[in-house]
Amino acid sequence: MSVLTHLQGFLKIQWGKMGPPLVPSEGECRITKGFIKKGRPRILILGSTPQFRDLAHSLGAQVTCIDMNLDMLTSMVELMKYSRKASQEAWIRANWLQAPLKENYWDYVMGDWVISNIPLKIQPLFFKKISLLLRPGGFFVTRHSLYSGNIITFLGAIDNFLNKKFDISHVVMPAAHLSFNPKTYLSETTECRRMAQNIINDLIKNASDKKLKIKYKEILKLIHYYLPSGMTWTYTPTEVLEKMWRPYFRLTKIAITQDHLLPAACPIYFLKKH
Amino acid sequence: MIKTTSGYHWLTVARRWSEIPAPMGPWPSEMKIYQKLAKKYLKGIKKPKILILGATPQMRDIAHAFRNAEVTCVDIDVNMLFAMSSLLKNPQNADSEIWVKSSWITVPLKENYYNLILGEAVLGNVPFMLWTKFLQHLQDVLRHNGYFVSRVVVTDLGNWHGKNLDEVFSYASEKKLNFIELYFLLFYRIFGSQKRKMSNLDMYKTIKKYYNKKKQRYVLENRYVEGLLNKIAKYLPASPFQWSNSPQAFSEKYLKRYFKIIAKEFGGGESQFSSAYHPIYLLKRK
Repeated sequence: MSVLTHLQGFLKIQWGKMGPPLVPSEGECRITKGFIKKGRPRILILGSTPQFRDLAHSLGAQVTCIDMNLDMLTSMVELMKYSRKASQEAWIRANWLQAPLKENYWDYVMGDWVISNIPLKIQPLFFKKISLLLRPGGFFVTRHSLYSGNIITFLGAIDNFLNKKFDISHVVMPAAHLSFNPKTYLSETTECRRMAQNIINDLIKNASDKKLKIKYKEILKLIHYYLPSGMTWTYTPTEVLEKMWRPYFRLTKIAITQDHLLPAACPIYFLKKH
Repeated sequence: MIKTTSGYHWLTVARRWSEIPAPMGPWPSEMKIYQKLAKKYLKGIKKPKILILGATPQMRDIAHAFRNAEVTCVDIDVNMLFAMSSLLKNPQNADSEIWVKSSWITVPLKENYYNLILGEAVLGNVPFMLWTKFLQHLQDVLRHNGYFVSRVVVTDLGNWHGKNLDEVFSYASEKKLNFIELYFLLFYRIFGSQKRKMSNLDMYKTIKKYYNKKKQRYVLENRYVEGLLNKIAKYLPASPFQWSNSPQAFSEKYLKRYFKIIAKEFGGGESQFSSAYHPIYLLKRK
């Protein structure tokens, strides 16, 4: 039994409660797994996503995880089905772009919502870096987060939550896109939290039912819990990304699943290195 | 209190480690050699890339003395990286390090990248059968003009072995050795000077057997030696982990396959017994 620090414990609890689309769904993992060839592939995981680590271990892969935050790598172990295999993983605490990793070596590089963590200007460099790491013919498999405002509004998501069609993860995603700027593709979480608060405060003000007011307050509390402040995410559209990856990769497949309610906002790209 | 995934307090680990004296880590005279060699061969490099094998704070401090250095530490136990960081001269330097939890033999680092590799007594941690793979891998990640600086613990200590354990204890008492020096002497007395795998467990078994057989009461009659043995038992428990130490010539034979020995220096002054016998090699990639 492992012992975690307070921070690691918090991360574990917070991430443990998250569901799709905030984390990869079972269907998304199944599609990704089906794509990867067996036979101890070398898989580099960008970040600590427990679902992807489990997926890689279930294939008997040699797994390396790279994350800026070692607490994330450590705390996510407890959310893994194959937690015993974590001791066999190589872990690297470093920036994805600057890590001195072996080149032309990895069969697969995988990452969940990784592109949105990279500033728009640096995204072409990011694709270049990933292509350097992959062996010729290797694949970069990544689930991406697109702007969801075209699919569902924040208010629509709240309605669906109240009608028990959505869980909170489906509300947090549109909330994280509230400050989305279609020119820069940026969304700032501090601003998103403020906007969500204003919208919900208005809803509370106009609600006549006491129970409904309590529900709205609950939603706001959960949004604040899951949506950290001070972060900037870049929701680059597919057509813009295509221009960036074209020098290094060929898109072989885009996959979406139907086991969560915002699949169109979370495509999985399968990019083959030239 | 900060805890880690292994379920132990890493601050406790750090404190215990800091209480273990040289020659488990380098003597001050040996540190000066490391510093001198690193300074000499990184001169003129604006952003030196330094790879540290293990989490040894002294080696990391040497690396951080170079401004703009990119420091990568590789250790199989992530808790050691956490723990040893608190023993750095400036613990905040740990934040800028790249940490890798991996075996030294399979660590997937960029080839032809590092200007310098520092490894304090690392060879003995690698099983003999993996020495070739290990050294080959270090050669791969070093730049073509890069250097590897490492102290190698060797087993040929001349007359210091003593004829039997009693002589070893007498010597330790007479020269007022520290408990790690006695630990080293016991190892060499028990396992001999040849290439051997040595474990604490086997060492304890041999000591017990020897005294049961001879019904010797020497240890109990000598408070100083008894104190040393108690400390060995406290800090170095009976583990089956096997050290791979060998005579100097054997280690050099392997090192020479992948590196050119540019310099071989010995510490001195602090301990007649240990610092004069374990060479620090400056190795250039072949």
